[in-house]
Amino acid sequence: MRAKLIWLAILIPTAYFLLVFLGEGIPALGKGGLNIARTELYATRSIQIVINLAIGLGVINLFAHHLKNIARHRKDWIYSVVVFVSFFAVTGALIHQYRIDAGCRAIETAGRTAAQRLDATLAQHPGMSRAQGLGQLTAADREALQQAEQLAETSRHGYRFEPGLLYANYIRRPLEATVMALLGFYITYAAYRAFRIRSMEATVMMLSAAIVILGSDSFGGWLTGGRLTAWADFDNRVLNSGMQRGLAIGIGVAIIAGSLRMMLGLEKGILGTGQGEQ
Amino acid sequence: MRIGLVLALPVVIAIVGVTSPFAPASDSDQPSVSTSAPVAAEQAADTTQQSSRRFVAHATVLALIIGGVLTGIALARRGHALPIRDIPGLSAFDEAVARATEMGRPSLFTCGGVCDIRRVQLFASMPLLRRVASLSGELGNRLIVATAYPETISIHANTVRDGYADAGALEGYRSDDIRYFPGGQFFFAMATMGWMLKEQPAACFYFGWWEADSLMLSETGQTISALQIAGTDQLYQVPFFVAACDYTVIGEEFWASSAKISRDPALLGSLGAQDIFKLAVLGLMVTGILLCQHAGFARWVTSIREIFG
Repeated sequence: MRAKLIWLAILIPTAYFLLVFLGEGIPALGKGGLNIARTELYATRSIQIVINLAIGLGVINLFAHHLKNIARHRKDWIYSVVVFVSFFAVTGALIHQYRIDAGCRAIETAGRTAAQRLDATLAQHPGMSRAQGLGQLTAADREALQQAEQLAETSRHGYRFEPGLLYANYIRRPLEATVMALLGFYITYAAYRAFRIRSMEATVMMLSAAIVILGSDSFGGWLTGGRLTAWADFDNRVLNSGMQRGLAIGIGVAIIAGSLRMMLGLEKGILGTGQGEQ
Repeated sequence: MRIGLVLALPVVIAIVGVTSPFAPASDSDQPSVSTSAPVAAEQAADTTQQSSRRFVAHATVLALIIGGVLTGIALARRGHALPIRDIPGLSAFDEAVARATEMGRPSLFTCGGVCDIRRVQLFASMPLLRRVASLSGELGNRLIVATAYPETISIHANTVRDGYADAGALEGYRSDDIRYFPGGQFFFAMATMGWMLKEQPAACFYFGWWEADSLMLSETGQTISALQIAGTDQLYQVPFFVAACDYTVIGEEFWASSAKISRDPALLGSLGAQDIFKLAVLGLMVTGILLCQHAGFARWVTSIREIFG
């Protein structure tokens, strides 16, 4: 029964999105036109609802699991405390960021409305200066304009503490950049190991790499009168592209076949046999 | 019955789509402001004709592939599956797990930091994980698994448990050995690298959908002298795996791996059908090249290409 339910849960959305993919040409076939492709927006919105519900369930599960760890002093329970501290710190920061954003939006909206009123007043009275126009506005409008200008000035040149941006720009992004930088060292080391001439294949790879690197560089072209550039171009456009396209055709057909097996419930491995479940 | 359902379902959804009161109005209902009425009508008719041709072309090719795959599966179930040649990377599975057992170190299996539940490659890797789990159960070795997405934890857990059950060693299965490292590709990579350095696996298996984390994990595997086997259909990652791993299952071999390991008729049959389609595509390409030598046929070939977009 469980396997059948899972299969149906896979089958229905897959069939729907397959039809949406094909749906571009469907309107021409029906008398009134098929709207199946146009319902995709509603489908994606409903997926968002499911995702949000799943997040709620996830938070409840997370709390239940880690509270139990702390209450029973299980092994490494201190990390459960770290989970709670991190959770509340990040959630608090995001709520604070949301409040800041909402305040800024309100100031900008009020400023825009006041600016429109000022423009209307100046249009009604040609020859009136901006200062005189400001005098015609209410005190609230003048204050809204002043606040909006201050906000714009701060955004351009000033600093405002924003916890969400602090996390994104000064914690997460530098960490990711550091990992990316590590990748450079890994590539160099892997290339060194791959290009050691130990076998026929490694020799061919080394020669091919030398041609492509030197051919793509102006020095290589100058050295061989442009011949190396042509070889590198041939290597990239003919040999490499041909191989990649050949593999891509096979992979494309394999992906269709794999998806079909899942739709038909023939991909049994993912469902498990249920042996040993507690 | 299942096939009937699969074929009937899109039709039902299409009918719901036609009659749906929630469906937004068609773009053609909007009045045109910049084009005159006869020109707009002509353009609309052309677009409609083009899109209906494209629909028929796409649907025909898809139907041919689906029909071929289903026929292949039916033939394989009757014992007419095409043979699969040896893939060195797969033959080394036994050697890798046995080596890890002898060294008293665990084996590691991971599908990478970007292989989420939408990737078919994840599902294609599961028979391989089951095989590694089965070998680990048989030899009494510990298998550790790293995953980056919460929805894939239960898929990995089911597969590992089934693998241990296949070997009759269910007591060897430990749910704690399936670790979830959240935060995205690079955070997953860093956490897994740390875990690898701590656990020192002697056999590492990397299968699925890979991006930049491929080289990070495989280089870490190199530093701990693990026997590494990788497989992906991501062509840009294959060179990294070739440089850092002992065995690499390249491109299409990755899709053949699960069929070869599981010997499941559904997988074997669809693999045979895929090969026949590739031959058909090759035949079409050669025919197209020959036809293009004649101007009359070349126009015809070009119009077919335009239909497919």
